Amino acid sequence: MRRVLRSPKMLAGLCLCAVFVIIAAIGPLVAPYSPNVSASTTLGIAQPPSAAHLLGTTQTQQDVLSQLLVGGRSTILVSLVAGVAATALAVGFGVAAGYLGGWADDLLSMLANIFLVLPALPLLIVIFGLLGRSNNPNDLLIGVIIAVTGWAFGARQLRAQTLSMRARDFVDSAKIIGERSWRIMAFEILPNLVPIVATSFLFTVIYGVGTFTALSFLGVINTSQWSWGTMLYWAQNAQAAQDVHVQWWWFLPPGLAVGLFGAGLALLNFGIDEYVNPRLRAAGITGRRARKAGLPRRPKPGLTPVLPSREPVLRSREAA
Amino acid sequence: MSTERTIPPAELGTAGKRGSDTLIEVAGLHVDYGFGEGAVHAVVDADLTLHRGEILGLAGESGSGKSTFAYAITRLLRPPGIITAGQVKFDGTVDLLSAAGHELRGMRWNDIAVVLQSSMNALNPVLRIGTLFADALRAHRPGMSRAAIRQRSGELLEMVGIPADRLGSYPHELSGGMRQRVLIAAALALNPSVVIMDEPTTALDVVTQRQILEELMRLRDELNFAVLFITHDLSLLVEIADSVAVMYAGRLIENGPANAIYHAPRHPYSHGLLNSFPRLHGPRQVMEGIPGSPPDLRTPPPGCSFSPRCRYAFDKCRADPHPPLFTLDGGRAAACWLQDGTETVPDELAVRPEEEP
Amino acid sequence: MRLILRRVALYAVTAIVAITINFFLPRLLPGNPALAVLGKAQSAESPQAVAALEVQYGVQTRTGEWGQYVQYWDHLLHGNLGTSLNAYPASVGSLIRAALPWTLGLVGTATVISFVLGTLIGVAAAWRRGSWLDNLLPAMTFFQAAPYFFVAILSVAVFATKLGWFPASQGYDTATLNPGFSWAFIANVLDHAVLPALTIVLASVAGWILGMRNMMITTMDEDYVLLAQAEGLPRRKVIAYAARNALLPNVSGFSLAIGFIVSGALLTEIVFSYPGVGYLLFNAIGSDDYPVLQGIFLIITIAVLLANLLADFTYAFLDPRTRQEA
Repeated sequence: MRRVLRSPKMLAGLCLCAVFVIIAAIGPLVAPYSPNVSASTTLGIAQPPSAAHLLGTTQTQQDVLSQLLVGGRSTILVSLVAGVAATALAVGFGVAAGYLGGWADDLLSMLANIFLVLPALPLLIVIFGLLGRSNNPNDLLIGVIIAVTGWAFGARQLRAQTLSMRARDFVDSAKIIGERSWRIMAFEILPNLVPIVATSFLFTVIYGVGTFTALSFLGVINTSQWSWGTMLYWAQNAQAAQDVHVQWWWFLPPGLAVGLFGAGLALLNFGIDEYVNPRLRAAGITGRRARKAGLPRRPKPGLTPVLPSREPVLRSREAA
Repeated sequence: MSTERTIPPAELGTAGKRGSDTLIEVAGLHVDYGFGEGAVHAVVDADLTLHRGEILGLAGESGSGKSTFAYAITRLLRPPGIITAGQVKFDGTVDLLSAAGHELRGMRWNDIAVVLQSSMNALNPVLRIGTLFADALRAHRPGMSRAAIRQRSGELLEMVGIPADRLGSYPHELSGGMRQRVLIAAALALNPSVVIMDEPTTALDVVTQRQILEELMRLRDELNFAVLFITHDLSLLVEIADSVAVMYAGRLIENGPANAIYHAPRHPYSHGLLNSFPRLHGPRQVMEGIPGSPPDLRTPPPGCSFSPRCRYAFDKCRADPHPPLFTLDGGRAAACWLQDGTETVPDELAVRPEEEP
Repeated sequence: MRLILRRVALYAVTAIVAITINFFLPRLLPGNPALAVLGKAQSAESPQAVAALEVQYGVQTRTGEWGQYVQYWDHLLHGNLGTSLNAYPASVGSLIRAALPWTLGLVGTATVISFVLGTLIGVAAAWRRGSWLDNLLPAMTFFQAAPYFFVAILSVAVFATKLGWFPASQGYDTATLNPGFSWAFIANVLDHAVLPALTIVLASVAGWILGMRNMMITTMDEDYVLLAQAEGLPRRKVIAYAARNALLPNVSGFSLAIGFIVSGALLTEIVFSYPGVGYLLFNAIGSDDYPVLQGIFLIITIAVLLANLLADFTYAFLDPRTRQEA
């Protein structure tokens, strides 16, 4: 466990994610203004950052920082809901398909493949478009709908892993004892799948952020419901980037927020990857001492390095 | 099969008449995995000599360091392997450990070839067999024409009993035995003087094993290359090897002519090993294993690495230094204090005239 | 061959599912959007338009649901995707036909560039492990996570507005040029395509790089690479031995990614007002033009399925093990 925490990627990922979780939790509470309120009705141009508005204002004089903080909760919440729901679906379908086999497997796999191939965003656009902006789905519902398009990838991976586990001895012994199928799935197989489930969860949250932001940007989701995507919708609407005085403060914060949140999750994923697949970790000749002894930083494949001093290191535990 | 070759064997590689010519001389080789604290000493102070045309068997359990040793010699050891000391002289002139990359590359396959253990993994699944031969030939014989390469590749396959039209096959289309033979044929493409074989028959059934070994002996008689044959199966070695070297916990603890070692091992470990499996012929024996297990190479025991499990061990064995290889009669050596000339050697390990089976 | 047939079957089933979803969604979702559409249409559109919509959405007709479903299929197979509400009387099909070439050109080129570039860099990053390339990786995770349209906005701000190197919008200079095969027109088109293409490449290349790098690292440990080194093959060849195998998962990963890339491209078009399907989509959303929305969904689905099929063929070509008959 300590080894896991020592990985710089893991730490960076954890820090980033922690920051965003905090934003989601207390964002709306610490926002200086309401995101809808216009500070003035006479100015028609977005204002750059100032003392009163730390991140400047939009064209209609709304505070960007407040929008960022309030929108943050919505964005992060929807992504997390999507992640949890999709992972639950993936685990349910994937493990069942892998364990039960036969026609159940064929059916579930076919279902997963269909959802995998169907382009998600266009489908979601049609769904949300038809739902209509008057219906105003809440964050939870949005998350679940997004999850319906995002479970297939994780399901496939879990199914593959379950298939290889099913053949192993400990499952057979559980069967012989007479444990029921669902118990075997839940208590024998599932614990071994934790790293994959974790990776799948993180990946789906990233997918959720991206998709939700895209949907908000398109205006398919109610544009008065604040989220980072909505901020970008309004920024693009006002041509913030095309304006001669580029209004950086308007579109950079929400875009960076999405990117950094996603990056944090991706880094966490790398960390888990490296833990599970040790080959991805740096090979064991790193370190200053190795450098000083004359060993190459990256040994050329096919050319085993030879210690220049040709002095054998005997009894390494006694080495200075 | 044509009796004419496209390139006369004498012009390829450095194979020559069998004799007492020393091809490979390893002195004081130390190989570690990793560096600094926590480095594992996989091979410690190993000496070995391979003569022209000789079949030398390198025997030992898993983890004894035999594969590490063989790959380290040719600098093919994967990271985090590091060679920390020693000398590997090829043909009396080139020190493989200080050779530059391109020099080494030129010698590879031309002079020293390798047959890997798992033929399924060693053959690139997306390339045809013919490509393997062609690439090797092209890399070292830049002048060869396409037709010549094709012909030579066909010859090589026929040499191991595979029809030449299989050049267009993919590895997954061949059986296990055929794949292993392809590897052997590829190894002989440039008529090298040394072929290192890493447990080439371990993954095969007994019948195929026999066939391949017979092929090997026939080819060796024809082309006169030396073989470093790595295996855990000592009984195999007595049938094909001229000499045998035994490794334990990273050290070479005994070497000598194959027959002698098989019938009269001098080192307690070799003795225990040979008595661990039954012989098909001869009187019934009491089976003995070797109690305990090989040491953790990160924290090797003081003194002789075998001492914790050795029934003949005494105080000197348990204290540093590790016993060196003592030279015995008949071209043999054993790394055991019992053989240093001062101790009384138990009967089982005494120097006796060679017995015939 | 069996592999390809199974994939074709999957795509066929998926297409059917997509079409069926398209048919049922308006009828299933709360608030009956069909009625909402018609309510709006009745006040704004001609009676013929309203009649056509009634048929399309199954309101006030005498045929039952199943009959409407069959009718829907009949229309589709004749290439009839319905009539646009916003651009009446233009058919959905004609609108999409006008926009599709722009999108195909943009996405096609950008994806190919991204894949090739990503694969090459990935190979280099794996081979030269421990070099400066490894430090790029964290930056790449950011680009991978940043939404396409954000990268688009950034490139507009930097390259178009601030530096003025490339135009910020449109597919070509509508004010001064007419479409045709003149050199001036083509050059203008390319000029306008640079930033959108750059956006797509930047946003998608990280995935290929990381995927290829990780696969190469695993592959370089394989025995056949060791054998290639033992044979003394030149370094180029050894890398090729590894790369040929490491490429395979990336190709099959392409099938998964194509859906995302297309979606991202659509979003990019919006930022640049690029006259492709994405821009059409955006306008349709804004004006509640449901027939266009649904038509685009179908066309995109079919395009993605075809791209998947292409990727499957490529995979079968590259991996001889798939050619084994069962």
